[in-house]
Amino acid sequence: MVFSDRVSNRIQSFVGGILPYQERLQVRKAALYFVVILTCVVMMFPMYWMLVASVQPYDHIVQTPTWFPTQVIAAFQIDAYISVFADRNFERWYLNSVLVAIIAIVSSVGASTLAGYGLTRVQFRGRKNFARLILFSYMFPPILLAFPQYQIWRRLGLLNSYIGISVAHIAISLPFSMWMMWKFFQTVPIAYEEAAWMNGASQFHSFKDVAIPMAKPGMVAVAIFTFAVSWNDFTMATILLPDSSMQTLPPAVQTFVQQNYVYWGQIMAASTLMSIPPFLLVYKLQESILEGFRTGGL
Amino acid sequence: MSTLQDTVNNWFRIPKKSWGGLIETLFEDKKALIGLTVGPATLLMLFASFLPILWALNLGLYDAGALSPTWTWVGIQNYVDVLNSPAYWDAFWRSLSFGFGSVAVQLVVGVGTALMLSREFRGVVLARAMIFLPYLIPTVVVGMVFRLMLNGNYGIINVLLVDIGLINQPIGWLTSGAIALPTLIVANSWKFAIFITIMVLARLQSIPNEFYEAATMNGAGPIRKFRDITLPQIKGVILLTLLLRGIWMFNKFDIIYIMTTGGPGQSTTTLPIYIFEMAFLNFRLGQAGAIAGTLFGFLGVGAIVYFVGFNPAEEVGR
Amino acid sequence: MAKTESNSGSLPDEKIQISLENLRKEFDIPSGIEVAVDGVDLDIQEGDFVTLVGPSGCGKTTTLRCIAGLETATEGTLYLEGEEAIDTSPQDRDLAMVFQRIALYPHMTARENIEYPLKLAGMSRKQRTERVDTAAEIVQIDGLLDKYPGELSGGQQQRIAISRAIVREPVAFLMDEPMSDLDAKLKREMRKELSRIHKELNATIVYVTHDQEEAMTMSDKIAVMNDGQIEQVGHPEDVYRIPNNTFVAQFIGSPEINLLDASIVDIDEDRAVVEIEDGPTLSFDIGEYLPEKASDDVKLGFRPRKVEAVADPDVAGIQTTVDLHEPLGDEVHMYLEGPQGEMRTVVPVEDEIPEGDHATILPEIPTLYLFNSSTGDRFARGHPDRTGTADVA
Repeated sequence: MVFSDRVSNRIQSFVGGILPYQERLQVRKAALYFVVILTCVVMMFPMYWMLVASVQPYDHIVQTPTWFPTQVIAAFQIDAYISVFADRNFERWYLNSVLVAIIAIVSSVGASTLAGYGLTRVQFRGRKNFARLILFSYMFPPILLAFPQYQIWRRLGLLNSYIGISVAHIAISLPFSMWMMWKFFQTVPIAYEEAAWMNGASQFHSFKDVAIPMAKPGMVAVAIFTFAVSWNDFTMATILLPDSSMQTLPPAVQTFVQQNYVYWGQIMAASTLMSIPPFLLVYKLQESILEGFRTGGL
Repeated sequence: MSTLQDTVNNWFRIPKKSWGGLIETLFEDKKALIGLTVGPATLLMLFASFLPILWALNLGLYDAGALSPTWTWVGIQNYVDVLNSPAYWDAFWRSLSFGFGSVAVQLVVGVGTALMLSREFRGVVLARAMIFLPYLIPTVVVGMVFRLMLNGNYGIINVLLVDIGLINQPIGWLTSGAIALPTLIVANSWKFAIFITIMVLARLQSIPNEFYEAATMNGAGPIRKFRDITLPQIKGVILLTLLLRGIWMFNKFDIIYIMTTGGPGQSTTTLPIYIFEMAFLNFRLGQAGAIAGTLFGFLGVGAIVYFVGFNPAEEVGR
Repeated sequence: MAKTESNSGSLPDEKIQISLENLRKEFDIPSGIEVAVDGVDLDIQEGDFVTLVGPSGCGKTTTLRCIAGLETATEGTLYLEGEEAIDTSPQDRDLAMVFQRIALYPHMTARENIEYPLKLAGMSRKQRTERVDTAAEIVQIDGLLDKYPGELSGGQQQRIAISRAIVREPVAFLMDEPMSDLDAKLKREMRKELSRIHKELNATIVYVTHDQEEAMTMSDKIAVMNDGQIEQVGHPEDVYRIPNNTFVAQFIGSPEINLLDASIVDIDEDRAVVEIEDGPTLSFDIGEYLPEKASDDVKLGFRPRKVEAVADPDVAGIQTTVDLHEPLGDEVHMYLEGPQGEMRTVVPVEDEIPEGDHATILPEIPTLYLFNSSTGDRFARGHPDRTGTADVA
């Protein structure tokens, strides 16, 4: 440790000797801006490319890729977007994704809010072990669950059903949701409910009228998290929704890839359309997310 | 209380209370309250999560195939076969490299980006918004876009590299066995490094500015400040991420399947891909069950490390 | 407004350690430019305890941070021990700083926190331990050195922060409202401690606070700041007794000075006759007259403790009704309803006048002030050698 100190002190005094302090600050600032811009460009490039490829004719993508903005605008066309709707079942898949997400969100928010409340308000032995169980189930990966789910669902007739895939998504999103709501309810002081009780409200009413409104930020965070899980999911949807008309967007987009021909334009158009809901949701509700992350701790 | 309601009540022999009242009463009873509140979530988890796990573990003890309707008990034979098969262990090592290689890349990029974004500069809000975007893109899209960009013939990456003059021939990023897995790691990290950035940034923003200013007044330069102030504060987040994200990436299926489906050859067949192939392409369910069982075993080890090392349950226990 | 006026009476050849010349600091904010420090000149002598005091937003903290180097001045310059220091990095200025929010590192023990600056300077372990032990003794926390900050009380943490500063043997100590997070009793203890440490080390201390009581009790000199400028610099008693303008007069002194609108009837070098609006006309001998700052419309000022209050309504003086009492043991703060609104007096408890009763107020001569109504500058004050109250014409 002491050696590295001496090295860094050497470097410091060396650099310090060359430039006065003010200018060193400015050099640092300039370097920072450079790195920031570089990072933004690198991070944004794939998305830029997605948009570009979705509005270019096929040859431009495959034969002579054009990436410079002026060239892109010159060859601008929205054929890919049109074909995605006209030649394929795109609306159906979008609808499926949305419905499945809604079912998953409603169930997750409901179940986790109730559970979070119960866990903080009622004492019972084995709390810690219950917590460990929740956290352990958070670690189960989709592939591990989807493989047996396929067989169970098939026996129960839940394959190719909204319920079936929603429940699968809930398996992934519920543990973290419960954890978040549990921790969140811990920050809601019981004093508020006690005040309601003193005013004559029953436990149920204090839950409904006091605890739930105060838990709104947590619920929003859970909703966003569940949406992300559901909208994003490829593994479970591919396995549990073999019928193409019942598929959600992620597995459906795979079907654009055929033996001899990859419909890149349509894939990129579909990708762009698929990316819009997550953006919208996050930008409408970013504060609640940060709140949820802070209390969630994971 | 109209006579109609009375009649209906009598019909179903429900006590003379409304449903709301019934729920109210239940809420009062502590035991019923627990059941009512924690119940739905527990039931969902039992059905959606624990039942399938138990099924899979059970399945591993039988010789079963999708083509044969009956199962034959074989005990641990499946496990023996699986653990003796080189294909299994190859897949295991690939999962390990992919998993922990991904996390390593994500940590370096993620923490670095977080440090950068924690500074104050003009446009920092815009920069943060832009840099958070990759995390919002669905994984399928990430896979597809990178597949296009890395294409051996017309991928834009190759085009740019050749144009700049760094390489003479386009590189088959996803089609040559040696570099396919590292390429997947980078593509995977593009999205998931940002998750780490978000976590670390949240932690960084809670470090009071005075800590740094006090160090400055005491003579500390930027390297010292990072080592003595920043690092101790983010160590916890980093270790936790290493463990949990490592496990998650070890078990990742989607992005690999989308970009290479385990190819070229078997060079990117990680354990999740292996299970998929075993179950849905080879229809050897018993074997797949055994592999799932080993996967569950690894999860168990990871969980033990997690609970012993971090004691997360402490946060909610009272 | 007024530039600095030093009535400190310090020896001219005492060494000046810190000197600010026309210091100016601007901040970029969304709606334009905010001037936090607007041309500040200040000399700080070796061994002085100088307090920058003023309301929130007056620029005192920004000035301190400019001295420290944590903020870069937009204009003006700064000298440390005679050398220009505006271009030196904060690390190299040899100044120690104690912050409001204590800034002790939670993952280091008290000892490790205190020796941190010495470690950075590359001192050997033996030397470090020696210095830490000495500093800890001065601040009286020697038993706590192996504890973590989380295990210690607020007052103890603040002492550790102070000993971290002491250990460096710096040119000067900079303190940014270090006591504002402590409770009242702790504050009073820490004030005594700080004064003791100051004398024991003969340290140069630049202290920032918004609490004028703190400023008055601990400092050798105070600089009252407002809106980015220094209104007055001097010994605390001088600033209290001879405020340069209405701002200083109102900010220093508790309860607040009484200021009444009035107009000059007649004034010369020896005597002033002043008519209080809706009130009596007072005449009194004056000790200092600055005609260049004078005006006809004035504010007449007098301190709550320097009045005579009688219950008799027939006595000539300012007629008021007693609104509210604040009994404080041996004395009573009385809030009065006067001809122009609220007035304040402090009287011994034997002389208190019941609430609701009439009170006639007469200010004592030495502590009467005349301020220019528009500029706020003081241009006259009562003669310091006279006893008794002003005459009523």
